Amino acid sequence: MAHDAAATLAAPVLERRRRRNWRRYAGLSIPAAVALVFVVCGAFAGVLAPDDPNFIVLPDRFEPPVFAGGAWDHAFGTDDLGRDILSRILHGAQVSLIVVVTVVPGAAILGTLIGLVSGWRGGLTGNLLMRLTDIQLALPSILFAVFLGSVLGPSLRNVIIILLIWTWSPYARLVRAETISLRERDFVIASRAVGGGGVWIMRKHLFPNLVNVVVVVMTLEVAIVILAEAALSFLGVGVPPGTPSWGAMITEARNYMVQAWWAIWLPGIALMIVSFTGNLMGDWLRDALDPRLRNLR
Amino acid sequence: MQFWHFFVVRLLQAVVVIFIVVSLVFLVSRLVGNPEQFLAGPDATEEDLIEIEERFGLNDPLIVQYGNFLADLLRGDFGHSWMGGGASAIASIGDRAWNTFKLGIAALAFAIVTAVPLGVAAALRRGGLVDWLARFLAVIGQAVPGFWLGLMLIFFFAVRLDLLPTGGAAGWQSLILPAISLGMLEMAAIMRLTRSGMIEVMDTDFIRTARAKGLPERTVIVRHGLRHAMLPVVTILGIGMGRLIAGSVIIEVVFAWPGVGRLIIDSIVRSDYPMVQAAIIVLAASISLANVLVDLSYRFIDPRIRVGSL
Repeated sequence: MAHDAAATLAAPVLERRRRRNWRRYAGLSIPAAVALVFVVCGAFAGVLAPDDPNFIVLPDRFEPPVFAGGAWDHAFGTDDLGRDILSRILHGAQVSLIVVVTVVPGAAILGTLIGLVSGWRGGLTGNLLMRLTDIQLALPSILFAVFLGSVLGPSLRNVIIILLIWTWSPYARLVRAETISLRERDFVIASRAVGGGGVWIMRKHLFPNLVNVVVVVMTLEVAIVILAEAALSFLGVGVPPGTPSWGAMITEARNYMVQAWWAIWLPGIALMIVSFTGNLMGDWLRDALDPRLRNLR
Repeated sequence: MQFWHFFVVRLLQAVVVIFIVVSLVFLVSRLVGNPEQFLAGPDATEEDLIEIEERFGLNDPLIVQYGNFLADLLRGDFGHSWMGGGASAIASIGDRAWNTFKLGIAALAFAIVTAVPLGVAAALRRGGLVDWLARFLAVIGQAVPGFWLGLMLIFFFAVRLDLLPTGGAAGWQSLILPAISLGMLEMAAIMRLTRSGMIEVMDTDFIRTARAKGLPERTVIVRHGLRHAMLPVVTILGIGMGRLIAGSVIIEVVFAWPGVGRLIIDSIVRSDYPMVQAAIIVLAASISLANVLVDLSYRFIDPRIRVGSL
């Protein structure tokens, strides 16, 4: 009898929880789908693009896109050199994707290691490492990035190096804070008592407790990295001239935005959709994995 | 006593950080860069290069160059431009600093003036049309690249409608578009915080008490609710200030705004390193100072925070 009562009481609660779960994942489905489209476009740009992104056909310049009365052979129109904008946007997705898959994990590994060591060791090493992140805070990253970019010269490899230097510090700061609070917890002290060494404790006890924070920051950093690459390319210190990067396309198109508004609109919209998606996924993951990070930005 | 101790320690820390930053810039530019080639131009002869190296002391050992640079800094000499008449770097920056300051203040003002009322309205009518609009603006503001937004504003308001200038700094009209492009990200951040802060605070006991004692709703919202909800907003203003200075660099380029940011970009592109060093010192110092001031301001807004605990 008591059992039945409990079941009747529990049913609506479970039902509500089930519905809430469903809603939680529904919120993720759209951004996840967009992200998938972005990844596929970037990875298979060479196959999907209807044209060579750098194929110049001067007579075809300033062809409008289909939604502005153009023909289907250039669905997104053409730019001032008659290059197919759809192909350039797809290859631009590839540039962004390359930057994301190299910079985001790279910065995460670098920042996590620095944060772990400085949080665990404390003392002089820890303080020195943390002063490094202070420097990052005091210097507008974009200035140092532009400076490095102009010294190193424009190339995709240099962009990746610059963005690694630009983005490792948030991981380091968060991981250090977490490590310091974990350091004094009983399970860590116990491990130390039975002879666990520093590396062992970091790997077996600290890292598993840090993964969530790192994953959330990584997701939120995707949009930052993509926008940063676009900003560098926009300023002319990113990818080499002619490379179909979204930022570079915007710079080129600003000279003829009156004749061909689509050439500046489309790469900007692509940037916006991708960074928007990254932010949505990041927010979702943060709420799901670690709501304490809510004030991160 | 504790207050001054905290203040001095923070200031000293800032000085150390700025010293490291500028040393990094100096060393990287001398080690990796090749300024004499750039200064002399593509058709420079061997003699031209040697002459330029002589003139700017570029063939001294690195440690001597660095020592001279630091000695000049200590005497208050921030160096002279390598371009044209060799203008004093700090004077050129001074000429433009006011423009950057104006742009930053205008952007911040735009962000606060739009974000706070919108955030409050969204919080009071949760799920309504205003709330929906506010949240939409917040996500867009966070996702849109500032330089692209700037170009779009130029496209609509300067080119198509011919209402405002496309760039430059002539009169208050030319400040509007850059300020909006620069302030958009801050607006999104401030609005999110205002909205969530208001939602939280309007549920508390002291708001119920304020209502129960018959205060007009306006007073309840502004004096009791908003004041409380503004705390986290002030917290992010420090980060916001850094972001505004960083963002102003690219916005100044888009709008041909004669500020420090554009000066830096131009100088970097021309390998005018003394100018770059001086400008980076100034910008890093203003960001550090802003951070210290924001830390101090918590104390006045929220007496529960003891300065020592920051």
